[in-house]
Amino acid sequence: MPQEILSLPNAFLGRTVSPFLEMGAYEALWAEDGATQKRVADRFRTSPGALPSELVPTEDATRYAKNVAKLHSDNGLARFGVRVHQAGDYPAKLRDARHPVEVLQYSGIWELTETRCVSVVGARKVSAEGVRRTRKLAHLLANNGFTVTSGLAAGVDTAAHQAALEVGKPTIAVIGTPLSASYPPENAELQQQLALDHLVISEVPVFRYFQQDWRANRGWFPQRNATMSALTEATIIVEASDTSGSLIQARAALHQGRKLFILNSCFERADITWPERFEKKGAIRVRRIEDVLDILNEP
Amino acid sequence: MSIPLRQVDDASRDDHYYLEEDDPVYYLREYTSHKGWSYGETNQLISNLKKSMDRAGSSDWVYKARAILRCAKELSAVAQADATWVPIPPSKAPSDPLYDDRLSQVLRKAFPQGDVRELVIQPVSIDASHTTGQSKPIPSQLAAGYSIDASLGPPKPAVVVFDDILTTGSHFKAMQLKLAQAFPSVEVYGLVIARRVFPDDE
Repeated sequence: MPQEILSLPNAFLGRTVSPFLEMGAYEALWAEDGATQKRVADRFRTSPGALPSELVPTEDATRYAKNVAKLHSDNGLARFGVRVHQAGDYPAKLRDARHPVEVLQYSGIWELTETRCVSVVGARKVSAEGVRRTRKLAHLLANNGFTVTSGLAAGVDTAAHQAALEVGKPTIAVIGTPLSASYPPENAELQQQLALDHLVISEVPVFRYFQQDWRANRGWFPQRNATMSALTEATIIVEASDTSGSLIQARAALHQGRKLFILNSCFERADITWPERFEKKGAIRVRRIEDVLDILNEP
Repeated sequence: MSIPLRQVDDASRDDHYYLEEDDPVYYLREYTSHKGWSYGETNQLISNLKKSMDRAGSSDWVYKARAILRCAKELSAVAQADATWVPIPPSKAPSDPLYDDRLSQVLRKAFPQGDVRELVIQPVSIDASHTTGQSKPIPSQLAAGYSIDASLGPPKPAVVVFDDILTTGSHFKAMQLKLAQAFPSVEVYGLVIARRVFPDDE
């Protein structure tokens, strides 16, 4: 009956989704007391196939979505993209994470996620030698068709992104702040450059982030490392202490079945024990940086 | 399970200059428009789909046919035929050697039993909006160049206007205008294979 079609306008279009609303619904779940990565992921594990909007009242989802748009806009971000699990253009590889994200926000060229991506990560306080190694590695990867992916932190991350830019190749940043915030603040300009001509991805719930103080917000950094690992086919650790956040990514990489490379120089340090530990679990010790390419290109 | 259609909403409407808040426009995929960047599965699909008719018979022509099939398959997986499906008319008139009815082909392959009609036609060729460097026509100018094929009779109460890509939204708005003039009671929806995204405020 024609009237029914008019009153149910989407009957002929099947189930439709509004990414904006889904983003708001996911933000609402994250705004709940006691929300953690595991608990939020559990909501979706116990409701397989559910979209965030199916777990949250529509008014709440709408309110949070508008709130996030306003928070972004107040912080100078007018436009951002949204990716929703099960709603198209969401990379299946992200599901390999232990607690996969349902919604991501991004600025830039999303198609870079379709390229072969490799994470180059490591210490924030990096030695001069570590910076040199990072640049050499990132140049090699970028010049051989890999998209250098990192976390836009100080130290190794910054050197990796800059090295890709130096050779005019694409780079992806998976950041531990919302798109409209930067950490460290001195990387704000680099972040803006990547957002314009490359790709910056954030899984950090915006409302929650701006509600909490910096101590609670430190938790987003290791969380995004697990996502970065899932997005990339390998993680390479250039330099890291025994307490570095990079080791979260190392664990995630092995758990997700990704290749994990550790530069030989890490093994030569007397003050740390993690390299041997990860080597026993399957990490690859890199004696010559060029070997990384051969191993990545193994059939 | 198929991927649901996404709706142009507050997060995406700014990419499409002419679209207004209540315009019900849906898309299957997104692709990024960026200088020097043409990588990506969707970019490839769209570029194959749009291969110009003067390439007919060339070695890469088979990709156009495959792209048409692929789009039809994706469309039939998400949408039902229970509406009148109207392709945006090709920019070239049917008599023009460059006349490309790829949108009609996609719809007929997606909904073999469905109500697919070239209800709106473009009797006189214009430069395709993706090849001309001149300023692009606004919706009312586009609509003025359209004609309704009255011989096809009135559409169902819901009409889905179909295009391969959504850029400014000018073609959807022109169709909406033309259809509303001819059939004031119908609801007009837009559906595209892919929506073009700007990475920044261009």
